[in-house]
Amino acid sequence: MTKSLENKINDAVQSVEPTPEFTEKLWKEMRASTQTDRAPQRAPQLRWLPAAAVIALAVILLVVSPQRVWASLRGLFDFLPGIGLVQDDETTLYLYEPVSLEQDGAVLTIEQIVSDTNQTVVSYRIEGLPKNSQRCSYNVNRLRLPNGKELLPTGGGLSNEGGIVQARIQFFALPEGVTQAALYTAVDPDDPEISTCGAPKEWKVDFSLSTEKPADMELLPVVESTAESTAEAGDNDVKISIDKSVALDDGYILYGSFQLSNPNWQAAGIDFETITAQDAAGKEIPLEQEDVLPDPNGFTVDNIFAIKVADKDFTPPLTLHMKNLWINAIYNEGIPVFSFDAGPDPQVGQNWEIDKEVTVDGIRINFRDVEVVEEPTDQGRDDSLEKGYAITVTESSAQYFSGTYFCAGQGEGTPDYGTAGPSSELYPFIYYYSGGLPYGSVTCSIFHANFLHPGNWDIEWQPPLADE
Amino acid sequence: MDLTIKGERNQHERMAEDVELVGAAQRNPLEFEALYRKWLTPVYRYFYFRLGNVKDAEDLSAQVFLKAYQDLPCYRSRGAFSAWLFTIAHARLVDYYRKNSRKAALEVSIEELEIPVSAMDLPERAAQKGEFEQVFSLLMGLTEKEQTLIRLRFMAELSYREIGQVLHCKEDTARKSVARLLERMKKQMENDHD
Repeated sequence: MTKSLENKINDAVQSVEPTPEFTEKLWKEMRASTQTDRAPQRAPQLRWLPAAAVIALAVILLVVSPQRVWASLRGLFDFLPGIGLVQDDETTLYLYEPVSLEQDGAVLTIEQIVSDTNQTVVSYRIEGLPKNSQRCSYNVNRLRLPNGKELLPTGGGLSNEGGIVQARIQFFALPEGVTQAALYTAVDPDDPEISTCGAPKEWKVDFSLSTEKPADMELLPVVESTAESTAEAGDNDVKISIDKSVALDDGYILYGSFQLSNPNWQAAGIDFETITAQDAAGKEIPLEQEDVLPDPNGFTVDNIFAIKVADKDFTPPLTLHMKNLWINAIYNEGIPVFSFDAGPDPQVGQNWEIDKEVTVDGIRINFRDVEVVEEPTDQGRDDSLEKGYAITVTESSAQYFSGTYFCAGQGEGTPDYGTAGPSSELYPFIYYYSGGLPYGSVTCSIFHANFLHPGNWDIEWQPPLADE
Repeated sequence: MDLTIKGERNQHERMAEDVELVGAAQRNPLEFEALYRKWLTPVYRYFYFRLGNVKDAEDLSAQVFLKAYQDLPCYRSRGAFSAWLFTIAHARLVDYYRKNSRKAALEVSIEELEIPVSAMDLPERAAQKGEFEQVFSLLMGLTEKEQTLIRLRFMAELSYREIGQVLHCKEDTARKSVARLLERMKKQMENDHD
């Protein structure tokens, strides 16, 4: 008997499975990601975004400007291997010597702690764990203060390889005057794999800090740099500079910043997928993403970046080449992109052809049509379903473009929530409106965009001389 | 015509289960594991049957789940979780298209197709391989939008209602579109056979 097409498809489908190795590896990475604060490789997409959040985001971005942060960094920071940038002044607290605690044959050693006005960074290691400790993921990390309160982590990460846990966790800064606390680390009690973890489930290690630096502490100097990108001035110009560098044993860390000429552009970011580096002899030099200093309030600071040059054996100068930059733009007043006549009572399924090309900040966007849609019905909401406009963008000139569009017309309707992300023919941009769908003469405007800004930025950087 | 697939029969139970799982994961991120294990295979298949190779299917699946894991606290369960997840998946695919625009519009040749080992291990593996290639070839003959419909239906095992949510069309439109596509693919299959 000949198989039906459906059966053939189903058989083909059933034969495709992700490998168990991939399945386990990815889940492990995801769990680990809860404790990492590495800047995302791309600026965040806004998804299911209440309208008010756009405004809140704008406020946050304005509060934490790179100029303010770098200004506060000038000349004040050193680099401590294993910790990162450390504010080198009389208020910074250090763990003078490692502190250890033994439990069931395993030993947790706090190797380093540095606490300045920006953050507290704790580096610890657990050794001597039994063989069945591979599934022990010490995901819960806290700093317990003498007053009973706890400081939460703001980032960092940990690994568990060969029964040795190595962790570097960043916490909020210690309150002023606090010099004693306890590191609390534990396997999450709700972790379904906790029963297979044969190691101690929790640790609490007391420590004291002082302004005295450990005798063997090697603080590496952060050297000023003046390397700048050569880009033409214009409305959408971005100037990139390398402001500081640190020489490591195995490479350099470069700290830089963006200066944006477009007042709507709130944040720029390195596209780590396209940045390259070459030395004077044409040799490709590997680059890695590196931590930047977080804002004391826990926000990720925009418009500064850090790159590790993962090689020291090269012929200077080093030329960094960037083809794209991530741009996060907020248009507070909105930029009108198209209008249409929705009539007095737009109905679900009603569609208007737009067929218009609009240029926003140098990026061409093609709007195809707009359609009235209704919220999904499956979740059984009690109140009436909201209607929204689905805007179809067929293409844009940027390699990636994600916009947030709000429409205004007659009526009391205001933007409520919706989707964002790169829209396409299949996946239009949809935003639902509370208080009724705007009707009559409707104008849709762009209020937020996240896109890859194309360009050609070269930055020639000269490593500092050894005695600098 | 029997268009029933595994996911259709229990769609209401499955969606209700997702609502519970999402709630648990929003309270405790580690609970996301249940959603991950439930949806990884459909997401992986959704990519695999477009890209034809394991590496890219794994890369994009990883991106989808890392993104979903990160964004879950903001997820508002007004639609099916599956629709949300596959909206992310599609966004990743669009991103992939843009970055790989030189790859001849992402055409996958049968010669380059990485046929799963499990299919090759079956007793009638030669026939299985042939069928696998035939299915892939029929898919590649469809437009991007048509392929998406088929992948959402058969590879992701979404119900027509869920497909409607992902593609922002009515449930019935999704049902009729898939039925029409299958008819066309069958005719194509018969022509190829002749």
